[in-house]
Amino acid sequence: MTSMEFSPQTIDFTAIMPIIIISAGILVTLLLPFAAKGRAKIINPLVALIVLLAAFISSARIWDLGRASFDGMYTADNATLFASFIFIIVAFITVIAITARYCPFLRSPDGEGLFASPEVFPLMLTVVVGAIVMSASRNLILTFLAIETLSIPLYVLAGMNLSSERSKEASLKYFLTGAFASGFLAYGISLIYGAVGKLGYHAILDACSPTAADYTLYAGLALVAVGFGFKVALVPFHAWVPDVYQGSPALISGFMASLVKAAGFTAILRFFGEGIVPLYGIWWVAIAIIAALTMTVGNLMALNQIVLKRLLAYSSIAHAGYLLLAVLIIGKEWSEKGVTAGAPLGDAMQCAFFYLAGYVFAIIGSFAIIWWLTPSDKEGALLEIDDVRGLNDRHPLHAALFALFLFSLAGFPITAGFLGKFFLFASALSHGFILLVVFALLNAVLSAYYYLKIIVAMYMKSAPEHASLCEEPSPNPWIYAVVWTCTLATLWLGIIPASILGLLGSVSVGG
Amino acid sequence: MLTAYVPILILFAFMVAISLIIIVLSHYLSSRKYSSRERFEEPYECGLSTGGIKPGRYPVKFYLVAILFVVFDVEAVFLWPWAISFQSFREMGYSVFWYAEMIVFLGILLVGYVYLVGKNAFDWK
Repeated sequence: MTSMEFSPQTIDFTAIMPIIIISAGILVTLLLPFAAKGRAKIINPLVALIVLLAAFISSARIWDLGRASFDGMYTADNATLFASFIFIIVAFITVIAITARYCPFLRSPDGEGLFASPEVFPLMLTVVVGAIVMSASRNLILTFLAIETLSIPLYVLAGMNLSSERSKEASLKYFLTGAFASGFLAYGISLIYGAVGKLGYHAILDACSPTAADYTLYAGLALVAVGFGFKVALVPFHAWVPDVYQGSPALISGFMASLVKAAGFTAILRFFGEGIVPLYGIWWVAIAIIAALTMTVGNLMALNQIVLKRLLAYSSIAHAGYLLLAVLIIGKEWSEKGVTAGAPLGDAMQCAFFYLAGYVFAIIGSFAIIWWLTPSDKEGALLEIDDVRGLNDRHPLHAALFALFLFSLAGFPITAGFLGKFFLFASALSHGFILLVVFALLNAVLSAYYYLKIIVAMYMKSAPEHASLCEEPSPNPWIYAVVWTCTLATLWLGIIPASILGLLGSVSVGG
Repeated sequence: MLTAYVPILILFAFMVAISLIIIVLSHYLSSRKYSSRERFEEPYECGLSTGGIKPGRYPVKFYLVAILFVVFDVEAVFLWPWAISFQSFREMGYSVFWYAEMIVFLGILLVGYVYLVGKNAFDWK
């Protein structure tokens, strides 16, 4: 690690160009609604989309270049960039869909009790900035700041639907648990700083010694892990998830379940892989237990859920458990080989990112279907398995696409979810986590039960006699933007994985 | 090295001891009068009978004052170290960079200010 002295030479503007562009977009979209009146306000989401597109292009331009900025504190290596692509695509399709559904100046004839704030767009862009910085950060303070940048707008977004009590409840619960998590994180960081005297991941890597027991450092690491655990909803820090995902507007739930989890895991992989990997012998047991607990509790709780959004929330917890396998693989691989700048990330990172990409599109697609099926968020929060009974007879397209996303989440072949699980478990097996893989496989079987329960209800049961909540799906054409993108991505990753794997194969540790 | 923490240990011991002593003393010294059953359902307020739950109303503009305070206070907090660091930046030959950094920062805060004006945050009747 170079000296602590900051010098302006270390700023690489190309590396941080995506976040500069999006930040500028935040300011513009915040002020534009004052200038534009009435239907002219459509320009606001348009600006958001253009900004995301520009950020995508500027990220793509530095692919493979391994740029870093601020003395290595911010690294735009391929892992960051691949994660950024996921974040930007997710934000892009969510912005389109949200504009269509909620903005009064664009309202489709079916109408909607709307949360008509143009602030949605700057808030979502802020979340994307936070997510990108989280995946790029190699310094605990920057990670902390990025997590806050990501979280605070999300608290607001969760409560965006002011007419819904559940939405407000979700916002408050998310805020309180989030604040709690930030406390853990900040305290853990301060203990690590006390023990090591440095905050950069590489400095921590150099200072970590597996032989000399330093309990201040261990306590700090444990607290930071708890903070991360809250953010990506690992058991036992998962209790907020069902209420928050159920109460938030469905698209925001999808946004949280996909983007936030992906951002959290890239940050975790970086911290555990590049920061504290020498202590692998100490933390692997804890992570292995949490992984087993997370998948089991998530799946067991999902078994009996009747509300679809809660079921998806618990299933997203279970997926976090599978993803923890990647952390273990990376820890094992890198603690044996040692991390060197420029080294390929190896198949651990490859399968983690592949799994994330597959999971992200399946979960956001599922939430989008719920959103599509219900006239407003009030019904969306209460949509039950019984309500989708016989959906195939009424709305075959909805049923087919929902089934596809559920198959992907469950891990059935020809979907991204199958290959994601396959690569992840195979890699874990080859690294010797036999017991844990057996556990994960049993869990995957368990999860198939509740995913299939929905599919059985849609295809093999007759429609309920009582009025279903999803009699009249919104005819809004904009939803296609989300649903078809997710469908395409799920099938593409599932059928031609080589294209993405080839891309990921060139991902390497930033210099 | 650990001897430096002895005062803290003593402090902890005092804290625990005093709280224990007070609890035990109050158990033996206090007269016991159980009031009616409803008393137990009220919020506990250090042994006094409560005045009931009074949410009260306060003008929402205080909330805006707090947000405004953040906007302007954060500005002041960062201006101070910025001003002090000028000399070292000039020695490195980065005066323009030093200046531009703060302009960007103030520009972002200015957007926040304009947003507040646009939202009629200053329109106090």
